Amino acid sequence: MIGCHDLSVHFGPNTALEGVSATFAPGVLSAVVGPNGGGKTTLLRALAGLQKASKGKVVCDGPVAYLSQRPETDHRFPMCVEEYVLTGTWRRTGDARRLGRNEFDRAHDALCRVGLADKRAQPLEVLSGGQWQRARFARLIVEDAPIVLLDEPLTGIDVPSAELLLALLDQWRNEGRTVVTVLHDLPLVLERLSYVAVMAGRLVASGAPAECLHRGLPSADSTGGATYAGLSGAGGYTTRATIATSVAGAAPASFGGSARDGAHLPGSVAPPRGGPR
Amino acid sequence: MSMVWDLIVGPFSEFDFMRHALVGSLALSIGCTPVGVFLLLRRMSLMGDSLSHAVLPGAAIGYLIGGLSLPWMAGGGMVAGLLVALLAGLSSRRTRLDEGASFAGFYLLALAGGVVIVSKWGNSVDLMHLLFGSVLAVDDPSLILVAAIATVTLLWFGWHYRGLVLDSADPTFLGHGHGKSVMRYHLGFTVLTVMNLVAGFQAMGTLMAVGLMMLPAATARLVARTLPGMLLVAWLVASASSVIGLLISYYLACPSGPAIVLTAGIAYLGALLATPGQANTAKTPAL
Amino acid sequence: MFGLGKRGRRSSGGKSWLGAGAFAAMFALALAFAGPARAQDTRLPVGVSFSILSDIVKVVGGDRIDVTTLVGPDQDTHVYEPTPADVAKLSGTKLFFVNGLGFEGWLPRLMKSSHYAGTLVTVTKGLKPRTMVDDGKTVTDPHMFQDPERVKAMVDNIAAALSQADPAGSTYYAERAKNYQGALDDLITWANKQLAPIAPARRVVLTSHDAFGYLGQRFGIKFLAPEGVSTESEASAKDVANLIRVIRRTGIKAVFMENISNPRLVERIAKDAKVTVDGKLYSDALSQNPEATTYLQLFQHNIRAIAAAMKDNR
Repeated sequence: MIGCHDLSVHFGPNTALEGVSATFAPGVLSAVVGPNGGGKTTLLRALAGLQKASKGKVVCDGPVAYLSQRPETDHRFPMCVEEYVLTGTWRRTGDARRLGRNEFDRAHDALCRVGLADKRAQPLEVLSGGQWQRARFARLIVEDAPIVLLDEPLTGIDVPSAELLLALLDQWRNEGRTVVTVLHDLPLVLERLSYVAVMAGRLVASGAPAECLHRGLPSADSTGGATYAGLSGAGGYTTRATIATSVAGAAPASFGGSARDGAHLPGSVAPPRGGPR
Repeated sequence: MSMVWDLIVGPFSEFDFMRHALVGSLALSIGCTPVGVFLLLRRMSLMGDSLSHAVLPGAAIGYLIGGLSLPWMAGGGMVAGLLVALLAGLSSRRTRLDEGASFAGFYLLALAGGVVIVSKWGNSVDLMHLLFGSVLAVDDPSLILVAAIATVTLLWFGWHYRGLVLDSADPTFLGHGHGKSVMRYHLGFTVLTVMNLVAGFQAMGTLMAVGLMMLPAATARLVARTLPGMLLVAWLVASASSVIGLLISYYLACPSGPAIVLTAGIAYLGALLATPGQANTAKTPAL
Repeated sequence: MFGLGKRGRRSSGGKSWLGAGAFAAMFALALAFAGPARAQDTRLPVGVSFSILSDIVKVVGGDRIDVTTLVGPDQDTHVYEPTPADVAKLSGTKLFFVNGLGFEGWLPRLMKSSHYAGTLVTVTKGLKPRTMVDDGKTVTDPHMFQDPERVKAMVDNIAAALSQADPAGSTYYAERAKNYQGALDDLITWANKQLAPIAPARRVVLTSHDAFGYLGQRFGIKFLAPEGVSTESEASAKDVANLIRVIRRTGIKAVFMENISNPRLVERIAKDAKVTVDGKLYSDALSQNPEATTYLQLFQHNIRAIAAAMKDNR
């Protein structure tokens, strides 16, 4: 389980998060959604312990694994894929303990799982973006942490890789881990995740996706007003222009009625899409 | 064949100063290799040269307190170097200045401060000759200092290798999870860097210390694909340059320090020319 | 950069125009203040570049002059960098005595930026310098003051300059000059006596800075140095090796460091050649040590030390 209580994060005069209290339970796939600039990444970083809270606190009951939005490693660092995946063991082994057979097997299994077994001995720099993302999944597997936080893990990867990750998430949920992921693909959230927290500088709504998302999303300026925007059926809010025009109407458009481009309707079993943009 | 052997071994067996120079350079190579490689990977390659200027106020104050005594001056230099390095690291974390800019700010401050101190309270005795040595003049205390620091360096790197690699490659990964404190890698590395550099300055001069640290590391980066490979190549280049450079100085009457660094530089040039096609210079892979 | 081993007789580094402007500004300021104060003191104000010369000038000038020295005892004239305060000090003086021959590498710059209004007196004027080979180049050896015979001639130059600036004191200066030259003569006689028992073949000394050429020329002593006059150039292993071989072969036992130089290289060479370092010679400056506070003392100390050490030469 991981959560926060009255969490606020300020960057100088700017407020990224204000008074957020949320709890994410184990055995549940949780999503954090919201407009750009809404503080989703900040929330995840604060939960992961990378961002200091200006106020409030974070609680968790176990080690946390965190997948950042963009890999912060220089991919030219002289490391091969297997080594990279093996770094996931660091929390368990620290600096000095020798890596046993067990760890190597675990890494090998993880690589097979993500389909990178043949690239085991290659240096990181030969991987494409999608391959690297899969290598990062493999590292997550090796980390074997009870709490997993992922920030936009599906960005820019192809459909098979996305499917692979989602299957992984399902498995983790079944194993009773706490999984929290930031996603832009709202239909996906509706379909496969069971808990959502909607962020726009503050926690706007939380609970079952169907309930929270049917009213659409707040726009990016969290001036306290609740200007709700309709959702473009392409899988989430995109540009402000789209949001703004959909607000022109008096009543907030319900999710079902605002399928502007005539794409997927809720409830239909749509295959998960990669590339929300 | 044995004539070649005599040519190589002869100078060292005949002269004590050549042996001292050789052992000193080899010891410096051992300590500087891992430091140089990681400095390069952490994008701090220019720190070595800047640090040579940053130690001035510390040495000046050490001289004011203890006179022309090596422990006071070298000790003072080390304290100054550590202060500058640590303050720069702190400032780069807290402000929008990057490591390079922070370091530039502090070392210039230190250098100017040092010049003022010496000109007001010192006299124009050549402090530099005591603080910055020469490879042909390595005496026993300097040798012991360099060897001791090389040993400590190896031990620390051996013990903290994994953590340091992670701290250099993926600090975010290291920092999350409310786990162990990870400042020790950055701090330990900084301390070792300053120690190796100051000991190197004192024993053999700035050019040698920084040259043996960065040129082999740069060569290794071009040539090796794994980190252990880099460390090995860097160490080989540094050690070979020491031997060859000293022999060049002996047979061709060139100044020794520059001869050693030039040899390492030729290795670097060779690597540059021999490994084209590393043109994929983007930091993140294309999607 | 300050003092980074530049011992060349060329001016060390270029001060920016900002520095020159500062000099000029300080000079102007100093002039404004220097004027009134000067009215009380009737002594002739003179400036001198470094400590050894300062002592000699003081002896010749006696009570009639007031001496300001730029480079003090234990300081290195080769790497000295004048400050704006020096310009101020100089501005009140009528004469400025310098060694010349490139000893004060910073002199041209100082003269130019301070617009010195007094008379620059080069005490080595008219005296024949020796040349030496330094790094394959033939350069002038500036350390003429190491030869007391030549110092006698320098004393004449000093007395003449003082008399010209202060005609009323001509007799006074002439007498003091004569006395001092007499003392120098005694010194030379004494030195020759000290050195007499040592055979010419054994008159070899190793020292780290090639400053004693004139002394060697006068008294028939050969001085060897690992680095030349310009310690700016780093030694090569070959040169050091040759030097050690020479010592081993010739059996020199007289090895000295100086009060200003790189002592470690000399020690290293001495250890390799299995000689011990015999102590200090004073080359370019007086010292605050009691053994070398005047030129006469400095010379005596040097000769004593050299003679004692050369006795052990094989």
